[in-house]
Amino acid sequence: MCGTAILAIACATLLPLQAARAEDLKKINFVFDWSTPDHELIPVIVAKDQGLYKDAGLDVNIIFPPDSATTAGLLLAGSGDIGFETTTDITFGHEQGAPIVSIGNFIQTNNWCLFGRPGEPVDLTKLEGKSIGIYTDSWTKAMMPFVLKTAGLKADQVKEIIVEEAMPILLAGKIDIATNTENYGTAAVQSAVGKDPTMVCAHELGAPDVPIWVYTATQPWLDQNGDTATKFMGATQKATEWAIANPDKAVDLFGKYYPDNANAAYDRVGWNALIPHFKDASGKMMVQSADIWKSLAEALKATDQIKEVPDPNVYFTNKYLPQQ
Amino acid sequence: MSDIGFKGIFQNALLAVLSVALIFITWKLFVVISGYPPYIIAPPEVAIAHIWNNWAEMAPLLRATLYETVVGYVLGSAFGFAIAVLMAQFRAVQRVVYPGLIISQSIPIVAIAAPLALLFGFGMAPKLIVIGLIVFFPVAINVLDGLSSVDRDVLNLARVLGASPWRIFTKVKLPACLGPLFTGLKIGASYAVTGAVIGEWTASSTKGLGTYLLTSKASLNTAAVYGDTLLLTAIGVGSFVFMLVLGIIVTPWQWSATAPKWLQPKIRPTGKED
Repeated sequence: MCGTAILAIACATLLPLQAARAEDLKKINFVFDWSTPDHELIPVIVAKDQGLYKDAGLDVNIIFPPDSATTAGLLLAGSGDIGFETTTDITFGHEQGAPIVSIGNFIQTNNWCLFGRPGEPVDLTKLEGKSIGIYTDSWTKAMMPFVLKTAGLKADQVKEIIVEEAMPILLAGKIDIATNTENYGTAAVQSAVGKDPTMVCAHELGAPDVPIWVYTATQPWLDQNGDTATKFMGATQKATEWAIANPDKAVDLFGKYYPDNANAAYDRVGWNALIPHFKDASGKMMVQSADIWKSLAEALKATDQIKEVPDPNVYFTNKYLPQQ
Repeated sequence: MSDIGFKGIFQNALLAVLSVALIFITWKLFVVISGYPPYIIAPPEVAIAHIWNNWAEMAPLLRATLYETVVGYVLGSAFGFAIAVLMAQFRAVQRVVYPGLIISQSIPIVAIAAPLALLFGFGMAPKLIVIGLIVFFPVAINVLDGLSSVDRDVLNLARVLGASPWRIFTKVKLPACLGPLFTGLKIGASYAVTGAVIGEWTASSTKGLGTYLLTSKASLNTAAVYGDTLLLTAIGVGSFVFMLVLGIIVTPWQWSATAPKWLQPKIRPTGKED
């Protein structure tokens, strides 16, 4: 009887406190780059599951955009706070006058590749006349001119096929080559046929070695929520480090959060393919450099995709990253 | 019959133009009041300027999408008409096919567009199938309703006068279903362009306004997205208006109690028709 009374008093005292804490958490809408969750969301899921965001005073809500081209638009319209998108979204966005800024890299290198079916090597010297499955995202739009330039071809000398999912069409033999990133391409082929696809990746394709995905926010939001951005990036970095050290547990955790979308075999291959790309040569994560952004802008200018190369500092800031 | 006459048709056309103007004004007002910058919502003049400034690039895309739309629309409409005639003439066909028609419209087009590309490649075929699937249904259902609701007394009279089934079909049933046919054709005309865009999005080796829309969106080029959307809308509206005008010409009795002069038989003083 006495114990019950003490428990009731304790509950009455602690529950409102806990509720107050939940109310104190700063709500953040994190906009992913794809309409469904996949293994690139693992760091955010880990940070949520391990309470890293909560410890930082954040309540992170994940938003899935209707397509791969709407993340920046949602941030600019104020429907999202922090986004996850490609670096080319930032460069093309600036070209249109949109104040969108990268606040940290996801991976540090360019893992975009051309894929062939298992056992069928991709040969850049024999690209002429080949059918290439491409996506309509800004990254593919930016990378294809480099491929053509390196192969010494013009756009009409290959058959670009706009596809929704390139890898199944490649495996079905309907196209000769598929474009994708290493983590998605290898995961799709491995989980479908149990073999590795053949691939030729960015550095061999003449494409700049710039990170593909970045965490983003708009400048007006950052001006008012700089502390929140710092807390988000700090927690996300800790979670990324944990997921790198514990890949199997991280993939299982993703499967627990999204049982309908997760495919353990696919996500395991995909996440493990990303791990070598998280740190730069000096072992730093997320840190961006003006030289890299400049090389991307110059490469886009050289292929007539943007009109001017601005000061690269307009594209990014490391201000909100934790000290390393 | 709505006896609005040709003057009335002209007045309706004028009101339609005013309605379009109202849409543009509302669009512009929304942009001004909301305060959204052009990279989020492009105002109408920016969208139109994009078309003007990039016409050399957009014209071939417009032609490509228009071609897909027209070919898919004609094939889909012809199929819809044929299947409706078969169903009306043969009850057994109707009982077997009708549920299939309903099922075909319950399948999400976007879900089957990708498998269609795998089956038929990346040329015109999958796009035409997608457009056809969207277009044939309103045509088939309207024509079937038209053929099924022909006045029984007229049919009996034709039979009593010794008309063959073919003559009954061409002289009685077909004219009676022209009104519903054009209703179906108008609905299909405005939907066809959506099918062309879905076809281009899913798997396509040719570039059109649908693919341009995606690449522009990926580049955050909102002016291009809105300009492209305007052209796609123009295709849909243009197709609808074309069928509307054709309907007025082919079925003048739908619009006026008296036939236009050019359709009226010329009576000689002798009383004989020309």
